[in-house]
Amino acid sequence: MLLHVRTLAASCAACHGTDGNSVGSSINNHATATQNDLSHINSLAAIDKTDFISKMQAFKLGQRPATVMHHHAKGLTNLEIEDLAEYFSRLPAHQAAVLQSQPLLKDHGH
Amino acid sequence: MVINRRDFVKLSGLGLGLGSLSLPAFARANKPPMGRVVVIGGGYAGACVAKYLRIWSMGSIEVVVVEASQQFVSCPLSNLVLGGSKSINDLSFSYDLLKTNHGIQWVHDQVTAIDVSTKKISMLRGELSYDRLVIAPGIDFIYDDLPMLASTEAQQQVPHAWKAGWQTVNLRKQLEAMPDGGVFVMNVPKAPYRCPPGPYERAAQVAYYLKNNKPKSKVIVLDANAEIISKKGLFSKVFNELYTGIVDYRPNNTIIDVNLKAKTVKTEFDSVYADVLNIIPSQRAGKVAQMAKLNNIDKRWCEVDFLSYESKLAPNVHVIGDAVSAALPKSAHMATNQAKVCASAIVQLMAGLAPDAMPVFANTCYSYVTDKAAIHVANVYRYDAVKKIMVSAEGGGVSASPSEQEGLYAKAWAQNIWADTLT
Ligand code: HEC
Repeated sequence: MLLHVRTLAASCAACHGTDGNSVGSSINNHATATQNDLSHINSLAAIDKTDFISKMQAFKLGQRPATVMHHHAKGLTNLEIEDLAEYFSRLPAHQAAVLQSQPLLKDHGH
Repeated sequence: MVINRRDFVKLSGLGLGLGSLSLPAFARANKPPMGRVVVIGGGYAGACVAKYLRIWSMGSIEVVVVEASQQFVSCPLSNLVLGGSKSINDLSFSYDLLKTNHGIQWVHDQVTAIDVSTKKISMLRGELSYDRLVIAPGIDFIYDDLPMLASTEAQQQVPHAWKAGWQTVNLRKQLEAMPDGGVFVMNVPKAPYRCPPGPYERAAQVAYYLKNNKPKSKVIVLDANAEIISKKGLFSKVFNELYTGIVDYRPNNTIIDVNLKAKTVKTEFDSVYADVLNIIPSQRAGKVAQMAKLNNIDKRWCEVDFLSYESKLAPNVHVIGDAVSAALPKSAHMATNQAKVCASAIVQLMAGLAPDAMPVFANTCYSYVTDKAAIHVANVYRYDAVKKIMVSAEGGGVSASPSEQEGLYAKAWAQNIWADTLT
């Protein structure tokens, strides 16, 4: 079970950050934000389990405004949503580091 | 050849702190290494598998990455360099944080041979042995049909810009130098190729630049496929409505010849003159996969077991990313997903345990159609135990229409996947 949910949860990291801590969001933003912030994607770490489940179910049913989450939520089973809730609720929230870019090196291959 | 001294990992996330979430395979942090995994390639797939092998083995697997480039340069968002809203310097990153945060050993070298029977790889400056090998070679271009484009000089004139870097910069410069009224000609290779929506995003980015700077100019898109193969309705609308009179999209147009002197390309139907020419060749698994003779499907892509990404041809050798033969989009997000399933499986296998029998993951590809507005295609993919492949689950789909809100989220996606892969 954990193995299964861990790789699934890790696939959310492309948008919600490693271990559910997303770049640019303040810690515990989901506790305070009722609407989605428009410039970043919310963290999932330390999210309240019930809150997570109700949001995911609402995405699944098309009852919560979404640009993309309905397409993800609809592909997941109810059990997976519950396991994800358990998993993310236990991950500690912290500020995600922003990766700084740098000039392209002269000898880069292509 | 220098191998950095092994650093001890800072355990993060699902580390020791979450006792009840721990797996048997994790409970080895203080024991000697379970073995060594060598990863060839430091793109999205390779960098990600290295990181997650270290995290999920709690530092008990030694990980050595072999990569020929000093820097990571992101293909996602590189079409915005052509549109003018991003610089290549916004997309280039150091590997330093990845290495030091996770105690990954790093060898800056080029692989010259792989011997799967003795479990050894050779490089220009040394050799490495492995317990398991992960090959994340990306793509290689096929010039059999268009041999005149194979040389570095030819690619100065006709860049592919399908691996982000100096060719991207070169193509942007050519676009800037093109007179108003000029014709930009590009192609879409026959699928499968890296980043299915990418060529159409590129056409939109070039059109965005032309519309605002050189409105008498045109983009001719010669598509070897019968139709737009990703986000079709959305891209058709963008081409027809947002870039009316600028994008000239032509399906079923395979390029069969290129005249570099005359700056013309020939299709079965036509000869087309180009002020600026951008040809994206057909593709196959990267050179390292060919070296190990793992590209058995159509002599192009590598057949793997989708529970572990172990090659069907060589035991203890895993292949991830664009090189894999699958009904999965060759995207950056997908490369990281495969890397994570592979890392999880390797940790299990090296501890003598079975990998997850039913992997599931989410995938999204964003495309920018202006400097600010974006669209997506998103799907969950699930292992089918009967077919033994990954299939898309119910409920996936595309944006209703392009929006600036999705442009912001696409930027957030990029920042998060970069941080997830490189820190
Ligand atoms: C492509 C980017 C992307 C991926 C991948 C993604 N999300 Fe989201 N997520 C978003 C966006 C954007 C929102 C805001 C709602 C919207 O516009 O769809 C969001 C919102 C959410 C919310 C509501 C958060 C809140 O505080 O309101 C939850 C819960 C969530 N996602 C869970 C997940 C899970 C679980 C996964 C992995 C299975 C996942 N997401 C994968 C982009 C993504």
